[in-house]
Amino acid sequence: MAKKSKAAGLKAAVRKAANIRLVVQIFFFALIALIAVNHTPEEAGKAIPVLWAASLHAICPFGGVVSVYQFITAGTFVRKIHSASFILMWIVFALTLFLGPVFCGWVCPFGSIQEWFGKLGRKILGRRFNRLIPYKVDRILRYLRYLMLGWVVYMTAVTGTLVFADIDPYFALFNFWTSEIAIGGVIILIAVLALSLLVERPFCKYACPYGAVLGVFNLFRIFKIRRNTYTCINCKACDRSCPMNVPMSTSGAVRNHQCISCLKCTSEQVCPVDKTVELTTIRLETSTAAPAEEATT
Amino acid sequence: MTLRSKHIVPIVLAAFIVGIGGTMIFNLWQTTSSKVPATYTSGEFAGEYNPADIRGSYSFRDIEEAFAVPVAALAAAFAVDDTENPAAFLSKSLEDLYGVMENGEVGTDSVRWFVALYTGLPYSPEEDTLLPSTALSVLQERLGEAELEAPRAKIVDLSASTRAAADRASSKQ
Repeated sequence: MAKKSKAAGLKAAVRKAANIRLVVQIFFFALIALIAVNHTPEEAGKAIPVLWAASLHAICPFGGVVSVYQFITAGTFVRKIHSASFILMWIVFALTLFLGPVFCGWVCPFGSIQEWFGKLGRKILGRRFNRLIPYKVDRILRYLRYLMLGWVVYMTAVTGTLVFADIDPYFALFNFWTSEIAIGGVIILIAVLALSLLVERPFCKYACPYGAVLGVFNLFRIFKIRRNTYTCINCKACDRSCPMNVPMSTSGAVRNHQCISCLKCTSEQVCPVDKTVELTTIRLETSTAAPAEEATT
Repeated sequence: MTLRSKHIVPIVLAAFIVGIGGTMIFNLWQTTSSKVPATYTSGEFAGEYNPADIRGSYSFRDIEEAFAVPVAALAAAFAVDDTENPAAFLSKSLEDLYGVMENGEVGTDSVRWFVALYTGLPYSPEEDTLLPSTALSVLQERLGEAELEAPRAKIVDLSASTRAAADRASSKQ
């Protein structure tokens, strides 16, 4: 009886923690959608009062990243980018230095919508969901986003225009009702949402240039996801829960460039042992045995 | 120090609120162009506003204020003089109005080029940038034959149907 009530209590705590993140994701998704929707009437001088209105480019922190070269060399921003993008870039960098890519896991509306499509995919495919691509292939594909980052930054520097906007599925998602939308972006958006039914967060894993930038912070972030190798029972619940397929169960602390700080793997959510997987600054390996390697692959 | 989900929420929200709010207080937060174009940094025109920095969000009034090109001249050049309020017409609206044509596009870059020609400032348009024939009519009053040579090669004659579509769109403005 006591065991049953303890299990029920644990389940409730897990659900509560998952719900906290879901509420934050819905909040940012709705906020960005409303800002983008209000931008169209704003240009005709008929914006909905109280509600903020801005171009999606103006409030995208990645716009700051691609503008860095032009800002340093000419003191100006790339067309369609304004100081707001730069400021958001620094805010997100500060958050990421502190907590890892929480922007990806908690804030980014495009990551959220992929995750929601993934829930549907999980219902359809069951255990095969997010496990379809062979590990060796998947591991190589994960570096594609750095190629994408290099191409976007280089081309933006050379042309002085937002080259990524023409293929940006995130921009297409929040601008499908405007004439600014590019057909390339729509095609990629549809492809990404379809792939999200098979693989969790496919764009984040394989193509997102901003995720590539933020992923690097996992190497030196202050709060790390750490595993206590002494209390760990090697059930691999953390591995199975990770949307980015980071191998948590073999590491003492996650330094993998794909971690998005969603906290799904922690003792607060799927880890069945209290205080075993945590977002912390403290090393958790209290075992006398040699500490496990830090997961960097 | 260990953090949980309930700690992440206030940290993330505080970072955005303090970051955005703080920069708003110091007037650093801009989500639109200031409508003050960048200036040439060197050469004969150093210090003058550069038409290359005209953004799609610039209205014809903004352009008049920065470059002293009258709204009426811009409206006539781009055949939007029937619009209810040509001064509020945005440069990027030309892309909606005329769309992509066979040889190129009439859009914001056309406005940049027209302004440069009208004011005598240097500017190299993009390869696919076109000017409507109405723009040539306006420029003929100010430029000599030699100066009109380049724009003449990039003139698009707005067909009756395109003009009709433009008129319809203009009347919606």
